[in-house]
Amino acid sequence: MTPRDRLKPLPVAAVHIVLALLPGELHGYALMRKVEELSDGTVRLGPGTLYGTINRLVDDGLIEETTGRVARQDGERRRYYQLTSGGRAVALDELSRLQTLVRRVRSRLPKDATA
Amino acid sequence: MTRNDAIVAAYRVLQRLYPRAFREEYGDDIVQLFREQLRDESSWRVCGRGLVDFAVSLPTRHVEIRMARNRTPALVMLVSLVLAATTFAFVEGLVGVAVAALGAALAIIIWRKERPARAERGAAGRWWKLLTSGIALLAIVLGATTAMGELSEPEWVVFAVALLVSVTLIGTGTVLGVIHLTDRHRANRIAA
Repeated sequence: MTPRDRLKPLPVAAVHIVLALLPGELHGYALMRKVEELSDGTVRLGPGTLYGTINRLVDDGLIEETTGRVARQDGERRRYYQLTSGGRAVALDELSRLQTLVRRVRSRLPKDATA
Repeated sequence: MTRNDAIVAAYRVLQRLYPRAFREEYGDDIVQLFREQLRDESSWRVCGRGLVDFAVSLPTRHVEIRMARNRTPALVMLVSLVLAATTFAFVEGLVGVAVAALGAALAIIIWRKERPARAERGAAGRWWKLLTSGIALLAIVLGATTAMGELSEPEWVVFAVALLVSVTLIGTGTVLGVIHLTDRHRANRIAA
Protein backbone atom coordinates (compact mmCIF):
# COMPACT_ATOMS: atom_id res chain seq x y z
CA MET A 1 0.00 0.00 0.00
CA THR A 2 1.51 3.34 -1.03
CA PRO A 3 1.32 6.42 1.25
CA ARG A 4 -1.25 7.95 -1.09
CA ASP A 5 -3.56 4.93 -0.68
CA ARG A 6 -3.68 5.56 3.05
CA LEU A 7 -4.78 9.18 2.67
CA LYS A 8 -8.35 10.43 2.60
CA PRO A 9 -9.18 12.22 -0.66
CA LEU A 10 -9.60 15.99 -0.43
CA PRO A 11 -13.10 17.43 -1.05
CA VAL A 12 -13.65 19.21 -4.37
CA ALA A 13 -13.43 22.73 -2.92
CA ALA A 14 -10.19 21.88 -1.11
CA VAL A 15 -8.66 20.39 -4.28
CA HIS A 16 -9.42 23.57 -6.20
CA ILE A 17 -7.96 25.75 -3.45
CA VAL A 18 -4.68 23.85 -3.12
CA LEU A 19 -4.29 23.79 -6.91
CA ALA A 20 -5.01 27.54 -7.12
CA LEU A 21 -2.33 28.18 -4.49
CA LEU A 22 0.36 26.19 -6.33
CA PRO A 23 1.86 29.25 -8.13
CA GLY A 24 2.05 31.28 -4.90
CA GLU A 25 0.22 33.06 -2.08
CA LEU A 26 -3.22 34.62 -2.57
CA HIS A 27 -5.76 36.45 -0.42
CA GLY A 28 -9.37 35.25 -0.07
CA TYR A 29 -10.96 37.19 -2.91
CA ALA A 30 -8.11 36.46 -5.34
CA LEU A 31 -8.32 32.80 -4.36
CA MET A 32 -12.04 32.72 -5.08
CA ARG A 33 -11.47 34.35 -8.49
CA LYS A 34 -8.59 32.01 -9.29
CA VAL A 35 -10.72 28.92 -8.54
CA GLU A 36 -13.47 30.33 -10.76
CA GLU A 37 -10.96 31.02 -13.55
CA LEU A 38 -9.27 27.59 -13.29
CA SER A 39 -12.63 25.80 -13.48
CA ASP A 40 -13.99 27.96 -16.32
CA GLY A 41 -16.62 29.33 -13.94
CA THR A 42 -18.05 25.93 -13.01
CA VAL A 43 -16.77 26.05 -9.41
CA ARG A 44 -17.84 29.19 -7.56
CA LEU A 45 -16.95 29.19 -3.89
CA GLY A 46 -19.08 31.47 -1.76
CA PRO A 47 -17.50 33.35 1.17
CA GLY A 48 -18.71 30.88 3.83
CA THR A 49 -17.60 27.81 1.88
CA LEU A 50 -14.27 29.38 0.95
CA TYR A 51 -13.30 30.35 4.50
CA GLY A 52 -14.72 27.10 5.93
CA THR A 53 -12.45 25.16 3.58
CA ILE A 54 -9.51 27.45 4.33
CA ASN A 55 -10.11 26.82 8.05
CA ARG A 56 -9.98 23.04 7.52
CA LEU A 57 -6.87 23.23 5.34
CA VAL A 58 -5.09 25.39 7.94
CA ASP A 59 -6.08 22.91 10.67
CA ASP A 60 -4.76 20.02 8.57
CA GLY A 61 -1.46 21.83 8.03
CA LEU A 62 -1.83 22.04 4.24
CA ILE A 63 -1.93 25.85 3.98
CA GLU A 64 -0.75 28.65 6.24
CA GLU A 65 -1.41 32.34 6.63
CA THR A 66 1.50 34.51 5.51
CA THR A 67 0.15 37.93 6.45
CA GLY A 68 2.05 38.04 9.73
CA ARG A 69 5.40 37.26 8.16
CA VAL A 70 5.22 39.17 4.86
CA ALA A 71 5.54 42.94 5.17
CA ARG A 72 2.90 44.72 3.11
CA GLN A 73 3.82 48.01 1.46
CA ASP A 74 0.27 49.24 0.96
CA GLY A 75 -0.84 48.65 4.56
CA GLU A 76 -3.88 46.61 3.47
CA ARG A 77 -5.58 44.31 5.98
CA ARG A 78 -5.96 41.30 3.72
CA ARG A 79 -4.91 37.87 4.94
CA TYR A 80 -2.79 35.92 2.50
CA TYR A 81 -2.48 32.15 2.36
CA GLN A 82 0.15 29.85 0.90
CA LEU A 83 0.75 26.11 0.71
CA THR A 84 2.95 24.50 3.33
CA SER A 85 5.58 22.04 2.07
CA GLY A 86 3.18 19.18 2.90
CA GLY A 87 0.32 21.04 1.21
CA ARG A 88 2.45 21.54 -1.89
CA ALA A 89 3.18 17.82 -2.07
CA VAL A 90 -0.55 17.07 -1.67
CA ALA A 91 -1.43 19.59 -4.42
CA LEU A 92 1.11 18.01 -6.77
CA ASP A 93 -0.27 14.57 -5.89
CA GLU A 94 -3.78 15.76 -6.78
CA LEU A 95 -2.50 17.26 -10.04
CA SER A 96 -0.77 14.03 -10.94
CA ARG A 97 -3.89 12.03 -10.02
CA LEU A 98 -6.09 14.20 -12.24
CA GLN A 99 -3.62 13.99 -15.13
CA THR A 100 -3.54 10.20 -14.80
CA LEU A 101 -7.35 10.07 -14.68
CA VAL A 102 -7.69 12.17 -17.85
CA ARG A 103 -5.00 10.18 -19.67
CA ARG A 104 -6.62 6.85 -18.78
CA VAL A 105 -10.13 7.96 -19.71
CA ARG A 106 -8.89 9.39 -23.02
CA SER A 107 -7.04 6.18 -23.86
CA ARG A 108 -10.21 4.14 -23.33
CA LEU A 109 -12.52 6.39 -25.36
CA PRO A 110 -13.43 5.43 -28.94
CA LYS A 111 -11.55 7.54 -31.46
CA ASP A 112 -14.62 9.45 -32.64
CA ALA A 113 -15.44 10.50 -29.04
CA THR A 114 -12.15 12.33 -28.40
CA ALA A 115 -12.03 16.10 -28.86
CA MET B 1 -25.80 54.80 3.13
CA THR B 2 -25.75 53.26 -0.36
CA ARG B 3 -27.71 50.18 -1.29
CA ASN B 4 -24.54 48.06 -1.23
CA ASP B 5 -23.70 49.33 2.27
CA ALA B 6 -27.14 48.26 3.45
CA ILE B 7 -26.71 44.81 1.87
CA VAL B 8 -23.29 44.40 3.52
CA ALA B 9 -24.75 45.46 6.89
CA ALA B 10 -27.52 42.86 6.55
CA TYR B 11 -24.96 40.22 5.54
CA ARG B 12 -22.86 41.10 8.58
CA VAL B 13 -25.88 40.48 10.82
CA LEU B 14 -26.32 37.04 9.25
CA GLN B 15 -22.71 36.20 10.17
CA ARG B 16 -23.77 36.13 13.81
CA LEU B 17 -25.42 32.77 13.14
CA TYR B 18 -22.05 31.12 12.42
CA PRO B 19 -20.32 29.44 15.39
CA ARG B 20 -18.51 32.01 17.54
CA ALA B 21 -14.98 30.59 16.98
CA PHE B 22 -15.40 30.57 13.21
CA ARG B 23 -17.00 34.03 13.20
CA GLU B 24 -14.23 35.55 15.29
CA GLU B 25 -11.53 34.06 13.08
CA TYR B 26 -13.03 34.68 9.64
CA GLY B 27 -16.14 36.89 10.05
CA ASP B 28 -14.45 40.14 8.94
CA ASP B 29 -12.76 38.41 5.98
CA ILE B 30 -16.07 36.88 4.85
CA VAL B 31 -17.79 40.27 4.95
CA GLN B 32 -14.86 41.95 3.16
CA LEU B 33 -14.96 39.29 0.43
CA PHE B 34 -18.72 39.76 0.06
CA ARG B 35 -18.20 43.54 -0.23
CA GLU B 36 -15.61 43.02 -2.97
CA GLN B 37 -18.01 40.73 -4.84
CA LEU B 38 -20.67 43.45 -4.67
CA ARG B 39 -18.17 45.95 -6.07
CA ASP B 40 -17.41 43.79 -9.10
CA GLU B 41 -20.70 42.02 -9.90
CA SER B 42 -24.45 42.54 -10.05
CA SER B 43 -25.76 42.93 -6.51
CA TRP B 44 -28.76 40.65 -7.16
CA ARG B 45 -26.52 37.85 -8.36
CA VAL B 46 -24.10 38.29 -5.45
CA CYS B 47 -26.97 38.33 -2.93
CA GLY B 48 -28.56 35.20 -4.42
CA ARG B 49 -25.28 33.29 -4.45
CA GLY B 50 -24.38 34.63 -1.01
CA LEU B 51 -27.64 33.40 0.51
CA VAL B 52 -27.29 29.94 -1.04
CA ASP B 53 -23.69 29.76 0.19
CA PHE B 54 -24.80 30.89 3.65
CA ALA B 55 -27.59 28.28 3.79
CA VAL B 56 -25.13 25.52 2.80
CA SER B 57 -22.13 26.58 4.87
CA LEU B 58 -23.98 27.47 8.10
CA PRO B 59 -24.99 23.89 9.09
CA THR B 60 -21.63 22.58 7.87
CA ARG B 61 -19.70 24.93 10.16
CA HIS B 62 -21.90 23.98 13.15
CA VAL B 63 -21.48 20.26 12.47
CA GLU B 64 -17.71 20.70 12.17
CA ILE B 65 -17.55 22.49 15.50
CA ARG B 66 -19.62 19.76 17.18
CA MET B 67 -17.45 17.02 15.68
CA ALA B 68 -14.29 18.80 16.84
CA ARG B 69 -15.67 18.86 20.39
CA ASN B 70 -16.52 15.14 20.36
CA ARG B 71 -13.90 13.45 22.52
CA THR B 72 -15.50 9.98 22.53
CA PRO B 73 -13.22 8.44 19.85
CA ALA B 74 -10.09 9.66 21.66
CA LEU B 75 -11.39 8.18 24.92
CA VAL B 76 -12.21 4.83 23.28
CA MET B 77 -8.75 4.81 21.68
CA LEU B 78 -7.11 5.46 25.05
CA VAL B 79 -9.14 2.73 26.77
CA SER B 80 -8.25 0.30 23.97
CA LEU B 81 -4.54 1.05 24.35
CA VAL B 82 -4.68 0.66 28.14
CA LEU B 83 -6.63 -2.59 27.76
CA ALA B 84 -4.05 -3.88 25.28
CA ALA B 85 -1.09 -2.95 27.49
CA THR B 86 -2.71 -4.31 30.70
CA THR B 87 -3.76 -7.59 29.11
CA PHE B 88 -0.35 -8.10 27.55
CA ALA B 89 1.35 -7.45 30.91
CA PHE B 90 -0.91 -9.48 33.24
CA VAL B 91 -2.78 -12.18 31.30
CA GLU B 92 -0.63 -15.09 30.27
CA GLY B 93 -1.09 -17.37 27.31
CA LEU B 94 -2.91 -17.07 24.01
CA VAL B 95 -5.96 -15.32 25.52
CA GLY B 96 -3.80 -12.43 26.77
CA VAL B 97 -2.09 -12.01 23.41
CA ALA B 98 -5.42 -12.23 21.55
CA VAL B 99 -7.17 -9.60 23.72
CA ALA B 100 -4.09 -7.35 23.57
CA ALA B 101 -4.00 -7.64 19.78
CA LEU B 102 -7.74 -6.88 19.59
CA GLY B 103 -7.33 -3.77 21.77
CA ALA B 104 -4.35 -2.55 19.74
CA ALA B 105 -6.21 -3.18 16.45
CA LEU B 106 -9.24 -1.24 17.73
CA ALA B 107 -7.01 1.68 18.78
CA ILE B 108 -5.30 1.73 15.36
CA ILE B 109 -8.66 1.64 13.51
CA ILE B 110 -10.00 4.56 15.59
CA TRP B 111 -6.79 6.54 15.10
CA ARG B 112 -6.93 6.01 11.32
CA LYS B 113 -10.58 7.05 11.12
CA GLU B 114 -10.25 10.12 13.33
CA ARG B 115 -6.96 11.64 12.13
CA PRO B 116 -7.34 14.78 10.00
CA ALA B 117 -7.09 14.28 6.26
CA ARG B 118 -3.42 14.14 5.25
CA ALA B 119 -2.23 15.66 8.51
CA GLU B 120 0.80 13.40 8.60
CA ARG B 121 2.37 15.34 5.75
CA GLY B 122 2.15 18.51 7.83
CA ALA B 123 3.75 16.69 10.75
CA ALA B 124 6.83 15.99 8.61
CA GLY B 125 7.54 19.74 8.61
CA ARG B 126 8.30 19.60 12.36
CA TRP B 127 11.17 17.10 11.98
CA TRP B 128 13.90 19.58 12.91
CA LYS B 129 12.30 20.31 16.30
CA LEU B 130 12.34 16.61 17.17
CA LEU B 131 15.89 16.17 15.89
CA THR B 132 17.35 19.18 17.73
CA SER B 133 15.53 18.38 21.00
CA GLY B 134 16.75 14.77 20.76
CA ILE B 135 20.36 15.87 20.20
CA ALA B 136 20.09 18.44 23.02
CA LEU B 137 18.67 15.83 25.43
CA LEU B 138 21.38 13.34 24.45
CA ALA B 139 24.09 15.96 25.06
CA ILE B 140 22.60 16.80 28.49
CA VAL B 141 22.35 13.11 29.48
CA LEU B 142 25.90 12.30 28.38
CA GLY B 143 27.28 15.50 29.97
CA ALA B 144 25.48 14.82 33.25
CA THR B 145 26.57 11.17 33.49
CA THR B 146 30.20 12.09 32.72
CA ALA B 147 30.12 14.78 35.42
CA MET B 148 28.43 12.50 38.00
CA GLY B 149 30.83 9.58 37.57
CA GLU B 150 29.52 6.43 39.32
CA LEU B 151 25.69 6.14 39.08
CA SER B 152 23.37 4.57 41.66
CA GLU B 153 20.59 2.19 40.54
CA PRO B 154 17.76 4.82 40.43
CA GLU B 155 20.08 7.18 38.54
CA TRP B 156 20.74 4.40 36.02
CA VAL B 157 16.99 4.04 35.43
CA VAL B 158 16.64 7.80 34.80
CA PHE B 159 19.71 7.68 32.54
CA ALA B 160 18.31 4.75 30.55
CA VAL B 161 14.88 6.36 30.12
CA ALA B 162 16.39 9.72 29.07
CA LEU B 163 18.71 7.94 26.64
CA LEU B 164 15.78 6.00 25.15
CA VAL B 165 13.71 9.19 24.76
CA SER B 166 16.58 11.08 23.11
CA VAL B 167 17.31 8.22 20.70
CA THR B 168 13.58 8.00 19.85
CA LEU B 169 13.43 11.75 19.20
CA ILE B 170 16.53 11.64 17.00
CA GLY B 171 15.25 8.61 15.10
CA THR B 172 11.76 10.06 14.54
CA GLY B 173 13.21 13.45 13.58
CA THR B 174 15.57 11.83 11.08
CA VAL B 175 12.82 9.76 9.45
CA LEU B 176 10.43 12.75 9.23
CA GLY B 177 13.29 14.90 7.93
CA VAL B 178 14.03 12.44 5.13
CA ILE B 179 10.30 12.34 4.22
CA HIS B 180 10.10 16.14 4.32
CA LEU B 181 13.22 16.71 2.19
CA THR B 182 12.21 14.01 -0.30
CA ASP B 183 8.77 15.63 -0.67
CA ARG B 184 10.34 19.05 -1.17
CA HIS B 185 12.87 17.74 -3.70
CA ARG B 186 10.09 15.99 -5.61
CA ALA B 187 7.87 19.11 -5.51
CA ASN B 188 10.71 21.29 -6.85
CA ARG B 189 11.51 18.78 -9.59
CA ILE B 190 7.88 18.59 -10.76
CA ALA B 191 7.43 22.38 -10.55
CA ALA B 192 10.61 22.92 -12.59
